[in-house]
Amino acid sequence: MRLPWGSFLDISQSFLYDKDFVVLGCLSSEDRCCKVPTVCHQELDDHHVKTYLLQVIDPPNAFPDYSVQTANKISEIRERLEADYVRYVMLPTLDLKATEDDLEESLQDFQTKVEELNIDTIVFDISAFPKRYFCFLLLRLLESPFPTNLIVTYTQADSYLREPQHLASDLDPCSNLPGFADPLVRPDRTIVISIGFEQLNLAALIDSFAEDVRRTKILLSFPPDGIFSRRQWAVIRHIMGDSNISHMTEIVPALDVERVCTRLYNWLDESSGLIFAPFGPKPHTLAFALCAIQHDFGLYYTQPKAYHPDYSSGMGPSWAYVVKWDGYPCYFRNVYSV
Amino acid sequence: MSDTRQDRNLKVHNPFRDLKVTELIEDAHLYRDMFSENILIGETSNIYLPGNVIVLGPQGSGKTMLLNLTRLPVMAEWLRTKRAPPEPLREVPPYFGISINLNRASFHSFGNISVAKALRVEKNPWLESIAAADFVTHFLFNEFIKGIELCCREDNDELRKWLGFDYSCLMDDQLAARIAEWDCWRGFYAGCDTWERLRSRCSKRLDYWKDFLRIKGQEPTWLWNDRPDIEMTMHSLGNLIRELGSGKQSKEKPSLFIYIDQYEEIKALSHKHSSELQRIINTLIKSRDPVVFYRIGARTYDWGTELRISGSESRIEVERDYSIVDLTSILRRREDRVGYIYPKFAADVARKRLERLENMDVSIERFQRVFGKWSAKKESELYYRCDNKKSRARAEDTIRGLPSAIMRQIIEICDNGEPGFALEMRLASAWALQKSQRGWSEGEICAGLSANPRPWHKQWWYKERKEIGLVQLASHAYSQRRYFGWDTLLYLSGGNISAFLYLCSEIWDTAAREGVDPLDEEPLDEKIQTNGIISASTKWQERDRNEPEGSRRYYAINRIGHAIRDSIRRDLALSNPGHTGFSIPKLSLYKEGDDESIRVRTFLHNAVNWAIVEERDHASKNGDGQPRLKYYLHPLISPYFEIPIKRVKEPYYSNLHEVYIWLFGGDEVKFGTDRKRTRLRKDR
Repeated sequence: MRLPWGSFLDISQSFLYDKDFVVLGCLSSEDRCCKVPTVCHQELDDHHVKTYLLQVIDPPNAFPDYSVQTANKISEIRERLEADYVRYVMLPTLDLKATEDDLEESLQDFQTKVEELNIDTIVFDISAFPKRYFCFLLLRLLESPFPTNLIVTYTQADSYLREPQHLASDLDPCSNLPGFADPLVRPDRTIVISIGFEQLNLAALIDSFAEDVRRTKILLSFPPDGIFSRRQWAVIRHIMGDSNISHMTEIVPALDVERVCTRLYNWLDESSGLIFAPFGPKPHTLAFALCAIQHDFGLYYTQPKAYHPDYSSGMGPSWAYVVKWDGYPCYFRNVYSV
Repeated sequence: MSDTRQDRNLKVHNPFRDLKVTELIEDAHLYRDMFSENILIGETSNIYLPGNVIVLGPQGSGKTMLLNLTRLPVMAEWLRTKRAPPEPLREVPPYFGISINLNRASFHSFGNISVAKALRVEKNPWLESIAAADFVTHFLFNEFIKGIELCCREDNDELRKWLGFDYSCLMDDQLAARIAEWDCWRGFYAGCDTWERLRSRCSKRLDYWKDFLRIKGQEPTWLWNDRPDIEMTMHSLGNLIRELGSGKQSKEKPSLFIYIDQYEEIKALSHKHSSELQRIINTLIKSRDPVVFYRIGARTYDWGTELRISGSESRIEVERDYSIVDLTSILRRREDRVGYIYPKFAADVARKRLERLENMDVSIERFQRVFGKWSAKKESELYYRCDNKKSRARAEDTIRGLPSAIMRQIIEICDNGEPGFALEMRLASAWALQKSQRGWSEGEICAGLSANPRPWHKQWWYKERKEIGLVQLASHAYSQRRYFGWDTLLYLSGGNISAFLYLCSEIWDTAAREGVDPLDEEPLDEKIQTNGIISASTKWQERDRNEPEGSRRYYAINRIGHAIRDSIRRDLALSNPGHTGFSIPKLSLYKEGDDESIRVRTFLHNAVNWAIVEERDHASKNGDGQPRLKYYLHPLISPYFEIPIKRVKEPYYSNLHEVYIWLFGGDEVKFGTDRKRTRLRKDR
């Protein structure tokens, strides 16, 4: 695999300087959802940039019901985008638990619009997309001939909601993320879990694979700042108790998608297949999704129905990953062939 | 023996830590060593006899553990090592058991990814159903082939003998060729003349469905023609098992058992098509096939929400199409304690874990001695010691709201320097308060207090109030309530084997942190037991937050739990010892089309499913003769809220609307207090 990545501005200067492109992002209550669309319109204004935003709403029976607070925050975000002169087109709103068919329909609608513009490059900003959305969209955008070029962007948040509040709640049973089913039981596999701030019934997910799984690998993110690290280890303790887990733990920088992929390939060599539980940072999930798309592995999650309106605040640096270029997904590019 | 154990790290070798039965499910060898066959199978024998069976019970009650024994790999392990099936199954006809975990197999995704859309035809639920049925048929056929391969293994001669299978018949490719020709396949397996080819063709179809669920399959145009009929296929497989078991007499011929796991999760995961998908399974049950029998494990109230079969309004009926094994009624303690097997079961589970993981021969009696015996007097002494002057003086503060003459008399009678004096004081003052509130004069109360036997020693009066008295004593002493003793452990687990293991595991870990080997202490220090139990209680409550619908449950149960605690602490007269739970008229809870009724019912049913609330039938004492249902928080979360673990006397008589407000309203929950005030006013 060869995955060019770096700060969004560096990558855009190298890859987007002569291109018209479309930004696909998620309009949410998180400040960071503004960053990439704003930068594209302000810093890269030489080019033809068109932004499409999709709004995802919590299901009506979600608990707690944050709909009012979330709507207020989204209004503020929209005002901010307008104040920054960011022009965008809203795609039809979708329910968080949209089915594969709903997602496919929305994506086709978007792809048709973009193709009409005769643009072949998409900047896909996953910063505020729920995992079940961005993994599915990534799968479809990578596997279909359009777009020719796909750059995934991710903006870090300044801070996350502090304990004892929960980032997400009201969980569904464990299930595959849309488009990432792996229904057949095959023994001797390894389950790879990336750890985040919330346990989200990870224990039940591990139980579901008792028949397949012989090994467990845990992926932690680096750098381990105090609060971040403490919350991750609290989740691990909850799942694994006081067992010695050093032999199954790997620490990889939170943003280094390529390195996560390398680890995954190593673990793949040692087993008959991998099963992914992406509970950690989004770049780790991106790596899982890329590997799962390449090898037809499953991605499993216990989907929360309610996300806290103050999930994250502020905007940190933005990063970009060139996952598809000239029609070639990154996992088909050999490191040594260039 | 002890030396060997001391060499190990007690924390690492907690024999109770691996709570999840799933671990045992996939390790047939471990399962065989851990399963309490003699205790459980006897009570649940229907599971292993021909006939469709639904096993019901809340989360953690042991459904999966029991159903696991219907799977061929588990029985194979048993027969391989013990040369015979578990003792209670020796007289049961043999069975060839295959299984499907619907959730793991992404069964719920059918319908979310529309086959009709892929075929570019109009929306058609029937089409989605036949696609899902096709997937299940081939999935089960694949499992069937795996089962035959397992039987062919050389070391499984005992399994073949049990099933009456002949080795050479199994290996014969002519058999595979015959299967391929079955009409039910509609030509799909034509030309597959070896087992290997059958398996390969089957995998191809399953791989097609895998691709389809990943949105990259071709159009399943073949679905119109060469899809097998699921009922017919299962029947043919069942007949084949019968035929292969020719070594047996006719009444002992083997049957095909199909264990369907995670049936209940379909509803949560497929909002649009759950009904259609569940109806496929119901149709199989309705077929009442004489050679194929289905087993389903479901949480208590997850079964029964959809009983219709595919393409018809006809429903499956209990006792006609299937029977129910209800683990709650088997494992829960009845008032008369007749047939109460849970203590024996829990002790056996603990013993087997110690035997297996600690390589120790620990008798049930010895394990029970580790926890010791609870007594009210002993617990009372932990808050106020009779041999300590200061403690005795402080205990006098627990007598409140009474004229000084009565207080003096209570102290005189109760402060006798004997263990349990503080509980005596609390109960005596509660009795006096009750009388005072009912308008008795000081003289009458003093005379009553002096009576022999003491009025608060009357059997039922004492029995119903001693635990609340202890809760109040702990509160007065600004102390955490202490929990200890084998019986306490059983009460706390509420007939739920997972809860029992949770408790043992947390107590073990707490002891290990203190550097104490739990098996060297008889009894184990009550502080260690208490801390372990509080930890288990907190984790049980926290665990539920992450289960489906758990966030709402966590919020509502917290509100109710704290309200019950406050109500108990305030009730110094111990007038309502049963007010640790509440009851609702059954009719109001099952009112059709009433939103409040539906929401409360759904909430309470889910809480029962997830072992957070216990439900029991309850005869009304109101004189209206209306049946009621009473609800208590699960005993294991009672320590978390500091409320009594034993259920006594009459619960708080509530109504649907009041419970609705507790569960879904935003105001503070007032548990039972208004009713008490009204009653006091009336008495005056």
